[in-house]
This record gives sequence, C-alpha cells and structure tokens, in this order.
Amino acid sequence: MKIDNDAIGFEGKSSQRAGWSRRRFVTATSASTLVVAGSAAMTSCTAAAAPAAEEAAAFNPAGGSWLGQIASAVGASVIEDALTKGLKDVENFAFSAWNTKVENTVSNSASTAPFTYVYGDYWAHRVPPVVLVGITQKVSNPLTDKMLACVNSGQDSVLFEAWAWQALSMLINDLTSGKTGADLTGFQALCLISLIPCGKSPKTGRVRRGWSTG
Amino acid sequence: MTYVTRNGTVEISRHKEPDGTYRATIQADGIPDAKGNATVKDYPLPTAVASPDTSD
Repeated sequence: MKIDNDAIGFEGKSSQRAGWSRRRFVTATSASTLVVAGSAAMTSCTAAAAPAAEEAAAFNPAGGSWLGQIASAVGASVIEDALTKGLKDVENFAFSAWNTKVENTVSNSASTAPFTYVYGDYWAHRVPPVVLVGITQKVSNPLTDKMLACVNSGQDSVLFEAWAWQALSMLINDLTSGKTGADLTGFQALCLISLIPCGKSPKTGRVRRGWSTG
Repeated sequence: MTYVTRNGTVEISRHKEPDGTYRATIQADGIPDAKGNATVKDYPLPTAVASPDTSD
C-alpha cells in the first residue's frame, strides 16, 4: 500500500497532511449517554428527518472533506498521523489495540478496491465502536472515493462505494443538520447506533427487484 | 449493500433513472417512521463535486 498524503486536496486549502487537524469537530460523550440519547431522539426523528426541502437540496455530500463531514456529523474524533504513528485511544476506548488488524484490513481493502491510497487521518468513535477510513486514488475524488468502516476490533470491515457513503451522508445530514446542544447529541447517538456499522452484512438480506445493492 | 448496526440493519441501494442520473435509497431499520416502520429515504446522487463553500 502506498501512502500519499500530499496528493489529497481539501476544501481548497493546502493538501491534507498527516498532522492536519479537525479537532473543532471533536466531542466526547460516553457510550451509555449516547444510547439513552439515541432512544430519546428516535421519538422525534420523523419530523427531523424531513428538513426544509431547499436545505436538503442544497446539501452535496461529495465535498473535499467528505469523510470528515460524515464523521464529525456523528461526533467522531479524528486520529491524526494514524498511518505513520498508528491508532490512538479515543474517549478512553482502546483503539490502539486495533492497530495491527485495522492496518491489515485497510491494506487489503485498498489493494482490492483497487485504490492504493488512503487518507492520512482516520476517524473513530467508541460507539459502535468503529474506525472510518477514506480510500482514494492518487488524487481524491469524492465521486469515486470509498469509505471503509472497520469494526469488531478491526477484524471486519464494511466497504462503502461512493454512492453508498453519499446516501449515508445525506441521511445523517438530514438527521443532524441545524441541531445544537442536547438535541444534536441525541440525533448523533441515533445515527451512531442505527446508521454506523457494527458488523458485516447479515446472513439474510433484502434486495429489491431491479435495484443494485452491490 | 447491507450491513448491521447496533440497532438493526441498514440497506443502501442505487437506481439509474431514465435520464441517466442515479438515485440512492437508504433504509434504516433502527429509525422508525411515523407508522413505526423502518425509515426509507431516497436521494439524488451528486453528479459533481461540491464547491468548497458548501462542502463543510
């Protein structure tokens, strides 16, 4: 796996580097609080999932910071220098213990994607727990980049094609956009427990006739 | 694609429209709608990269 942080441009700023920080998005909330908050948010999610039409229409998930956009929307924390220094613990959760397995999973997924570059910074949250990684070609393209969700101590992963993480991003945006305070925390929790992977595909699934799910 | 979350299954699918554009449907079993069924949302997939002003 080849690493090229300099090839990835973000938000019209300088290229993303391993030390680049998005800590303004970082939040720290306990897992138990999230589950309770998520249950509360569920009672009012229907109304919240239908924002003003103009707002939904304006949101384009395919931005240069698409991975950070998804991760920060659910309150995940960035792990800087993950490619060079390995994973760090987040919110007192031992992601550092996942390091080797995540590294292998990312390498395997990137090589078979067949994209050979990954983002310099990873994002993590202790609920479910998950590590989110962007996989890209030499130059990042949000229309083709993939997202890898590493779960189960890094042993398993769910690979999102661009269209899949774009749909996920739009639903998360529907649920969290415009929220603040406890309201935002509740909907972030709802997203974490109901939209962010904690495992691979179930043994049985539903496939609509004429629809692609692969 | 289908995967599991802590609170049910999520299914995301893609469909090509007659005009050549794509839409995605995401169904989240863990997020009930007003009738208590799984939330199903349908979105047009982007055809261009977002401008820096709207990407963050």
